[in-house]
Amino acid sequence: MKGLMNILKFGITTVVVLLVLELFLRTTEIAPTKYTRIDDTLGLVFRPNAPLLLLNEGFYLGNINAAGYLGPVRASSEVKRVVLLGDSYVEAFQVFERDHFATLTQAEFDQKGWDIQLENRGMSGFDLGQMYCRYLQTVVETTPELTVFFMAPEDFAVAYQVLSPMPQLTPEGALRISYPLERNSGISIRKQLENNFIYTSSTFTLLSNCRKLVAEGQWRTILFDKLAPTAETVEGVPNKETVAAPPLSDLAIKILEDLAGKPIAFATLKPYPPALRAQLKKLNFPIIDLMPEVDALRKQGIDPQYWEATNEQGHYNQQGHAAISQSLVRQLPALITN
Amino acid sequence: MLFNSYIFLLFLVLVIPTYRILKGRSRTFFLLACSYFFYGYWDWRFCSLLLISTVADFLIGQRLFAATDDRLRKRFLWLSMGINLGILGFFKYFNFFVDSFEPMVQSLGGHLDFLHLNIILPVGISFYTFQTMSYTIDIYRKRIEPTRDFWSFALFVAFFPQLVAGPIERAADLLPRLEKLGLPTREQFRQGMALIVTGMFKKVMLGDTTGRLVDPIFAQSELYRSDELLFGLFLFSIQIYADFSGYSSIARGLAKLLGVELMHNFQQPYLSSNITEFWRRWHISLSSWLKDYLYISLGGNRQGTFRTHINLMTTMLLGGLWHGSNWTFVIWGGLHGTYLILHKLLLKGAKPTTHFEYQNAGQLGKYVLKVVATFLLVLLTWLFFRAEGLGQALEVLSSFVHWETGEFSGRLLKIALAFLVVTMAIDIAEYYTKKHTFLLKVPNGIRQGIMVSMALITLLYLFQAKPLPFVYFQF
Repeated sequence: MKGLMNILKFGITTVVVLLVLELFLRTTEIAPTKYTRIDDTLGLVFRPNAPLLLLNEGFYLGNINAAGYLGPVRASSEVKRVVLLGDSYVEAFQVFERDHFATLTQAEFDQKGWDIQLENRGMSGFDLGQMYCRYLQTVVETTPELTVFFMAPEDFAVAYQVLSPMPQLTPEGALRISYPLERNSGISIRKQLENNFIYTSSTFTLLSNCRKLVAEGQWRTILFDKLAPTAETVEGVPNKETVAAPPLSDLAIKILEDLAGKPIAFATLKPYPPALRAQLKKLNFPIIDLMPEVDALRKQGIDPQYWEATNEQGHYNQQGHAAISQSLVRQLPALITN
Repeated sequence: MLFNSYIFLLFLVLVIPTYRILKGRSRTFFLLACSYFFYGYWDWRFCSLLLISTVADFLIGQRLFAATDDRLRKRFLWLSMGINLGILGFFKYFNFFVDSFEPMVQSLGGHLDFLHLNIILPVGISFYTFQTMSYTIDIYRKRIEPTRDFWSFALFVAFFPQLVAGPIERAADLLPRLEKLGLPTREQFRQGMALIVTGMFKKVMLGDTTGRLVDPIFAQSELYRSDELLFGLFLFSIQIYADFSGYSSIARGLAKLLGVELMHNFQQPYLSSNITEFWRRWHISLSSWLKDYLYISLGGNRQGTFRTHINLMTTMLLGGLWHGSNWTFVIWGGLHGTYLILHKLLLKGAKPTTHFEYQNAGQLGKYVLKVVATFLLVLLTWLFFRAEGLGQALEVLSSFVHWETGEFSGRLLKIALAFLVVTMAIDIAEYYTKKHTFLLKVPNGIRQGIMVSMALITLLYLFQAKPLPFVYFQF
């Protein structure tokens, strides 16, 4: 009987203390709950109003806004809206919102009295394929004055797939968007459980992160440190950084052709090779060249991608963002006026 | 090898059962081999320094004890000091002094660049150097006799639970325990497990997590607003305490699993109601070392008030410099020295409070106010301790004067309070039970529930976040 009581006390205490620790994790935001979820038609989306504290190369503290993108919600219909699409370089979960190039550019526009409003819809992992789908699904209907695709040359490869939806070429060579999640009768019960329960708990998110690391084979290094056997290459989704830059695939060309004629510009997150520039020019896409300001910074001996706290090379740091903002202030207004 | 890593936990899983199987002398050899492996895991070359200190102090200790001539005894003492401080000075302070003299030499048209050496600071060198020095000094002062057991002495220098960040033990206490290594009692084992679980929780869930927030703020402090800098500084005060006291608890817990007792290193310092009490509760093994081997050697309080204050200030300045080769540490020591002198003057010979006992709400209120005031004084010193340089410390201070609030004040306050509540909850439990093993006061079943939950969350967090080294490893 005494043993049974002890087991009961143990069980109840464990649950109570875990709940207290869950509260601690949430309040301190050191193990944030998932700030994204899987939508069966849009694919990966941000959870509206999710608070975020991220420590990557840098330090990000902010919120997803009520409309499900970054920065303040832009609602006024009397202004010229510019939507920024891109990957983690545009999402920029390394700098505070106030240091983000979109905020800096907006501040310049506001100061000059220009009625232009920027919307940051960047999302980590996106390449041309995802940006294309997102543009058609969520941006076109809001009729922005301009949409800027922030892309590095390798982002044109349309190789990295962030779940549904996916642009595809039919055997006849036509472009279509496939929705694998819808085809599979929507999101699985497991995904629904993850979306609505598991990922809203810090403890379960921690558990899920660990499970992911085990699945990726990283457990060897975590457990055995430098005594771990050499890591095997993990098969799975290709990393877009390792995907070769153009020549453009048929799919990419088809996407660009479909986008041609719409109010879209491309911004160069890295220098574009001449062939790519020629292709974009041929389709009459304006190119916003971000490199002059970024290179000027490098010439001053400032590395726009160096992070002091972690001593790492990575995304653009605060100085990099300031340089990109200067570039946008110089080039964006002309594109909108035209 | 970091305590807060899975490889160390695996190391323990092998060491503890093997130790229990072994008998007699083989336990000493086994623990010595484990200690050298533990230390050499960072860089095997560091082991040679450990060996030099061990052999030198073992031999010098014997000769010193055997010598009857005072001059000869003094020479042996200076030889030991020379070797230990020479190694410490070379690895830790050589570049600091070169840098410090550089402006003076430059003003005379010369330069000292060629003297600048590319040296890696061996982990924990300040700790084991001070520990071996105390052995020789105690023999010189005829407080102890030298050991004839070389292997136990080697283990005294290299004992892995406390090798790299203390507690800095005295030979009179630790050596006899290592000479008669035995199995832990049941009570020691229970205490050891409780200390390891709470220590790991403090280190990983409070120390590492706050450290991750503090590092980017101090790496580029110019990017942050006043409230964010204050947040960073406040979290650093929690980081350094949770990190170091967590480490000390793990060290004591590990030693207990091997049947060895180590001294307390922290006694809830942030609950001190005055600065003198703070120094009796913070890094006890270092402050008592400095008192016994430096302050008293300088004359202590035996030569009048003025000389006492000079001795106190000298001790605190050198204590500051012990932490690292940067003028910010000297200022940190200087500030604490000033506080201690002012407190002595205020006390006018009375004894400072050392423990609060609840009697009524009024007294509690007064005590809380004193605790907050003491903490604020200490917080100011942490700015100099953490800052990358004097310039940054002054910039942060200037930002506090020209206050500018950022957009996240409320959120930062919420985060800081959550860390404070958990840190204080553990401290208050320790304070009133007067035990770091307060969990053992909790009935069975409930205790296991608390320990399992704490361990589970700690291990999960540790699995997905790269472990941060202990702050004091750099000292």
